[in-house]
Amino acid sequence: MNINRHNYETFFLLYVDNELSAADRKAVEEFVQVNTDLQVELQLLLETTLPTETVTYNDTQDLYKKEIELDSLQENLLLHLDNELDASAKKVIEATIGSDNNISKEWQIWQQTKLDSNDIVEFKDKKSLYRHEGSRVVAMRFWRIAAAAAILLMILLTGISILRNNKPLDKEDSTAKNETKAVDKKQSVNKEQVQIKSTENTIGPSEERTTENIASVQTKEEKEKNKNTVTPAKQQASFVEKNSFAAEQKAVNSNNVIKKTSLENINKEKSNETIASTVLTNRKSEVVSENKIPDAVASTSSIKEKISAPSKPFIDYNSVPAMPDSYAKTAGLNEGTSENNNKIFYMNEETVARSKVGGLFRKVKRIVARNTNINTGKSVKIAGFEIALK
Amino acid sequence: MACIAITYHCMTEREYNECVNHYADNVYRFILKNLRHEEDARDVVQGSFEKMWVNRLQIDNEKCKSYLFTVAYHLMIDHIRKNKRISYKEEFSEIDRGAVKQHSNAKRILDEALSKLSETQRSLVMLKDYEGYNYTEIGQITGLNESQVKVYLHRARLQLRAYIVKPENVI
Repeated sequence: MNINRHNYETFFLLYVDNELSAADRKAVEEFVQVNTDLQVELQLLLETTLPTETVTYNDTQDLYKKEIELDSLQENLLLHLDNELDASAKKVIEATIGSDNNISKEWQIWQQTKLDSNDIVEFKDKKSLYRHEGSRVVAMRFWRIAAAAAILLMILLTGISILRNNKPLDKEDSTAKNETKAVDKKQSVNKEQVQIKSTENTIGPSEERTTENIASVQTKEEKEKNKNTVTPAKQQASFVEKNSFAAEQKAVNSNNVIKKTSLENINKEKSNETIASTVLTNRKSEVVSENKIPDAVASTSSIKEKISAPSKPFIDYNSVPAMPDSYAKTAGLNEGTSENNNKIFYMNEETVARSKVGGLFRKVKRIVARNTNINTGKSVKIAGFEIALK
Repeated sequence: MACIAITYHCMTEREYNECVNHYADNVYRFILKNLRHEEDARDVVQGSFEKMWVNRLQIDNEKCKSYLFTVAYHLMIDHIRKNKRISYKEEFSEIDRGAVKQHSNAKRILDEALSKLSETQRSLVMLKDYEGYNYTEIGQITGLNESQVKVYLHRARLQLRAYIVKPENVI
C-alpha cells in the first residue's frame, strides 16, 4: 500500500505509535520530504506522545522478604524461649546451653528479647468497669403516692366507721333481747291465766261439750291436713309453721331474736284468734246443734266472719296458749282475708338476712359507685379522690 | 435474663467483677503497649469489658481471660485501622515522659525495639511473654493458625534481637 495525500493521516498515526515496519516508516519519511506542507502536521502528532519519566520507589527495602534462616539450634532456642518444647527436648537444649559458652551467650541474647511479665501497668479506674445486676426500682411519682395515701385513708375511715357502728348495734341487740325476754315472761303469765280461765270455763255440762267440740274441730283439722291437696294457702301455712318451730329452737341466736319474737307474737296472736274463734264456735254450737263441722277451716272462717267485731271478747286473745299447729290454722284462716300478713314474714326474712357488715359494705359500695370513674378531662375521680392523669 | 448454657458455667455478676480485678491491668498493659496512648488504651479496655458484660451469659467463666483478650485485640486492631496516622514515635516519647516509667536502660531499648514491630508481631510477643499463652491460644485470640503464630513470632524475635545487638544499643 502506497502512501499518498488521501491516506497519509493513517500512516502518520501508525508512525507516531511506532506500529509501522521499517520500510513503511522510510516511506512515510520520504513522503514528508516530498510534501513539505505536511511535515508540520507529522511534527504535531509526534509532540502528543508522553515523555518517558523515571519514578523511583525509595522504600524498596520494606518490600523485601527474607526467609527465616534458622538452624535447628536457633529454632530450639526460640522454642525454649517460648516454652513450647516438651520436657525431653527442654532437657536436651538446657544441656546444650550449659555445655557450650557460645550457645550460652546466644541464649542470653535471646532472653533479652523476652518481655518481663512483672512489668505491671495498673488500670486505675477499675470502678468504672464494675457492673451490678441491681433489682429494678420503679420511681413513685407524686400522684401514685397520693393515690396510695388516699386508699390508706379510706381503709382507715372505713375501719373507724365499722367500730362506731358496732357499738350501738350491740346495744340494740341487748335491748331487743331484754324486750323479747319480757314478752316471753308476759306470754307465760298469760298462758297460766288462760289455763286458769279454761278450767273455770269447764264448770257445767255445756262447757264439757265445748271442750269436746274443740277436740273434734282439732281432730277434723288434722284429718283435713292429711287429706287435702296442697294449696298455696297451706304451703304458706307449712312454711310459717316451720319458721315458728325453727324460731323456737334457735332462741339462743341473738341475731334472730327480734325475728323470732315477732313471729311468735304474730303467730300466737293468730292462734289466739283461732282458739277464741273455736271457743266461740262451741258456744254457738250449744245453741245451734251438735252437728259435726264438715270442714274445719271453712267453719272457722265462717265463724270468724260472724264474730269479726266482738265488742267485748270474753277471752283474752293474748292469754290463749299456742297450739302446735296454730300457724297452719292461722294461714288457713287468713287465706280469704284481704289483709295478708305474709308480706310481714318476708320482710322480716330480708331484714334478718342482712348482716351489719354486709350493710356497711353496701353503703361503701354505693358511695364508691356514685363517685367513681368521673372523668374530668385530666383526672379521674374515685370515691371522692381525684387522681390526675398524665 | 438467665443462663441457658448446659456445657459450661455462665459468668455471673460476681465472676465478672472478679475478672475485672484479675485481668483489667493485663488487658490495659497489652493495649497500652500496642497503642502507646493512655486514653485510647482505656477506651479499648472499657469497650472490651462492656462487651464481655453484655455477652456474659454466652461466656464460659473459665475462658473469660482469653475472651477478654480476643475482644481487646480486635478492638485494638479496629482502632489502629481507624487512626492510621498515629505517629508511634511521638506517642512513644509521650510514654517516656511519664505514662510508663522506665526503670532500666535494657527495658527502654526493648520497648524501642518492640515499637518497631508491626501490630501483629507486637501483639504476639506480648501475648506470649506477658500472658504466657501458647501458640494455639494466641492463634485463637488473634485469628491466626498455629504455624503462622510461630513464624510471625520468630520473625519478631529476630527483629528484636537485631535491634538489641546494634552497637549503639549494646548495654
